[in-house]
Amino acid sequence: MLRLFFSSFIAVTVLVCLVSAQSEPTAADGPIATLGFDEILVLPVGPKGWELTEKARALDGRRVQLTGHMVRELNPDPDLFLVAASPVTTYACESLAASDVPPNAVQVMLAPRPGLGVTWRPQQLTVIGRLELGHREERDGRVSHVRLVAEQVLAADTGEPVDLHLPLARRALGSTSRP
Amino acid sequence: MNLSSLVSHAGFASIVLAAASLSTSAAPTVTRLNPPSALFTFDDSNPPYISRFVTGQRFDLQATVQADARASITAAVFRINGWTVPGGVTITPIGGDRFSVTRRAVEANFPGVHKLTIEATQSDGAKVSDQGNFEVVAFKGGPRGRRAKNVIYLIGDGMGIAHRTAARLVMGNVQMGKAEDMLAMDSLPHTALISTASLNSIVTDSAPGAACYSTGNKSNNNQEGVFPDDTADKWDNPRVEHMGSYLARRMGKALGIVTTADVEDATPASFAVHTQDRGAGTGICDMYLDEAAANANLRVLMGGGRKWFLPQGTAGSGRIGSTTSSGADYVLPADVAAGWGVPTGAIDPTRDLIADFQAAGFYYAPDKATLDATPAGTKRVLGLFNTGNMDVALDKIAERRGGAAVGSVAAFPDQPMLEEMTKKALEVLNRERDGFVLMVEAASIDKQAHNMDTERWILETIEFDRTVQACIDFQKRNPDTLIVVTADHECAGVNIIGGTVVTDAELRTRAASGGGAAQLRSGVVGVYDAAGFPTYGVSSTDGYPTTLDTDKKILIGYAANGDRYEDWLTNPQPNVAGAARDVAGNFFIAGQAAGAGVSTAVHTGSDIPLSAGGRGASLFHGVMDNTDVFFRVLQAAAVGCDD
Repeated sequence: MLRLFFSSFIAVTVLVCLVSAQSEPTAADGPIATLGFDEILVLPVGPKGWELTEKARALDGRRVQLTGHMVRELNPDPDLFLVAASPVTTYACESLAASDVPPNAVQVMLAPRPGLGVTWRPQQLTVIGRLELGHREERDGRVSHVRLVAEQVLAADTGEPVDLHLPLARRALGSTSRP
Repeated sequence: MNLSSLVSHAGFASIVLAAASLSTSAAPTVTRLNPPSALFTFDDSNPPYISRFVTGQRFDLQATVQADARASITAAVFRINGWTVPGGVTITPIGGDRFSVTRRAVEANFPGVHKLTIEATQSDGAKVSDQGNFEVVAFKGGPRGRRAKNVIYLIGDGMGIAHRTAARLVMGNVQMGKAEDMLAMDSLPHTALISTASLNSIVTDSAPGAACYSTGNKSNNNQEGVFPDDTADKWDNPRVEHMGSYLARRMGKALGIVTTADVEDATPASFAVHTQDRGAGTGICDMYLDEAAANANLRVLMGGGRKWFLPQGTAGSGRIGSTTSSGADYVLPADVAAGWGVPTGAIDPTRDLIADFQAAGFYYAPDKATLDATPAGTKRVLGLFNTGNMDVALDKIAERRGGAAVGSVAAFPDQPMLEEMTKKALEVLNRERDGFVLMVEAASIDKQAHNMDTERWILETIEFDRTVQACIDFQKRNPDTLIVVTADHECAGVNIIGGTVVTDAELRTRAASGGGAAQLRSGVVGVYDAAGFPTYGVSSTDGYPTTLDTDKKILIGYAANGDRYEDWLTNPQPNVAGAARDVAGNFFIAGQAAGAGVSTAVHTGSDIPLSAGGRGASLFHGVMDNTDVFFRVLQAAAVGCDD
């Protein structure tokens, strides 16, 4: 935890930030609470809809950090991605309409970077941002109920900023190990 | 509208005369004519005929006419064999001086090949005409044959020959070249190979791959129960009547749909819905109630996809307040609603679709316990066991055995197995006096093959086979039942390349070594003699394999692969991207499918197996086009057969 805060501080001070249009988090923005994927929904789900936990509802509008994996999508949105507890993939032709994405996946919203789309990363990420609850429908039809308006995306293991709008290096997919 | 008095062989003469009398040099042009035909597209009047129907099956006529600049199409008429199709056509401007001309819900009642002509008149009086054709299929035999009262379609989505073989190798205890036990689907007496190309590609997706079984016709990828047109509207395409509606209207049969996917997914929707967008979940699920329950006697709908049924404002709802985006709702053009006798629909994201189903008499089951408690005598059931796709057999069985809840099992811990849903569906549908059509889909054979998750699709295939056995048991008690077991396409280019030559313990050591191909290919992959005969244990409690990580397990290769690391072991988590799992072994296999296919394996154009049993099963043999299956089923159900 301390390491993460330190890394975040370094990330801000050196301004290697993934979102050029976003302001740096400051002390005035308030403390950062940690939210786990198992702390978002009341489990098991009841006979109808989901129920958000007391903790999630209490953090609505506040700054939180969440550590998980990018969902790998067949048709990713340029400025949105999903983060889940494991690095799941959704291959459906119809985007997320019928998917295996777990219900507690969180939609992360990045500031737009014209001409650049989000590129999937295999490693674990920590997203810091403002938690936003409630129904939201995007232009492409994806619906979210739990979102993070991202301030920073960091590599979970090193704490270094990750610019998801830059292409993924080929070696990250293992090309150096091919025979 | 009945065209029985219009469609006749005598009409051929008049159509020739009519065509000859028309100018073919008019400036406007016909750029599309539906139903699709090689006569229109290639000026080829020879078989095979692209569009075929059974007697009385409804379908739309549609043409796209390109007018001169700033001109419009003011009148149009369709003729079949030279006879004018009565009733008004609808002419809709669709941009670029193009006009869509439609005549909804016609039917033709005389077997044979019929010529379809469109004649259109431009605002300046210029005329254009063009021709296509379609066939009304003549059934062999006659009404004296015995009919199949009930039809059970079992679709292993993505299930090619090798998926079946792999399941048999795990469950059949193959030794000295022979399986001790064959699969249930292996026991069905009649076999065919099915070609699967769609209207626009040698490689189909699940929408046209399944819709052909319900309509008898090809459509483009992503389309369900429609022909392609030239508009962006998801809901205005020329429709083809589904088997469920046809048999409900003419014989009073009921329809059931059971899947392990989200119920909006391509295969289930392809048996009841009409749209060019397989992802339009809000509208698709509304149509199940608004159209299928009303007009096709839909009595059972089970699977995942609860999100489409929850009103917007409820956490977990996926309902969309738009007709254009992914997941869209439906609003039909007036001519579609009037022609087919269905509601226009509405953008209603706050609709409580579960409540509406309940108001229509459906018993609602959100989990297995509630499904098991279905009151005696219930005749309508809606089961929604997950907000998205249901979890897969491997993870549901692991949780039932006391293992960790992975995927969304923790959120939905009481999801039924496919055979449990199917048994309940059969129990409910068997109360229908006039019989039923039941479509059962094992959706995640395909989904897990896409993700090259070998152990998960093998268990999905085993779950599917147990479902086939449940249907065979039903058929024994109800011999006037036809069982058709097939797929919609092959997925991932699956094949059995051999077996490991090491123990599970050694494989785990190698998988943790980071040694790449030197550790996980060399010294592990046994081919030919070295593959031997892997053996698996089966639980006497639940009937599923005790583990798929045995010593010397079978190995699967993927000819249509995406990028993945491979360590040959069961992945602890489902649906993890192939490039993000098994990384400790450092054995990377680059995908060969282009573009998005790098992230997952893709469908292939290989033929798929079909097995049939029960009343009418002898109609299935040889190599058949996928649309042929529809006509053989209709022969068995509506006309009769000798077996």
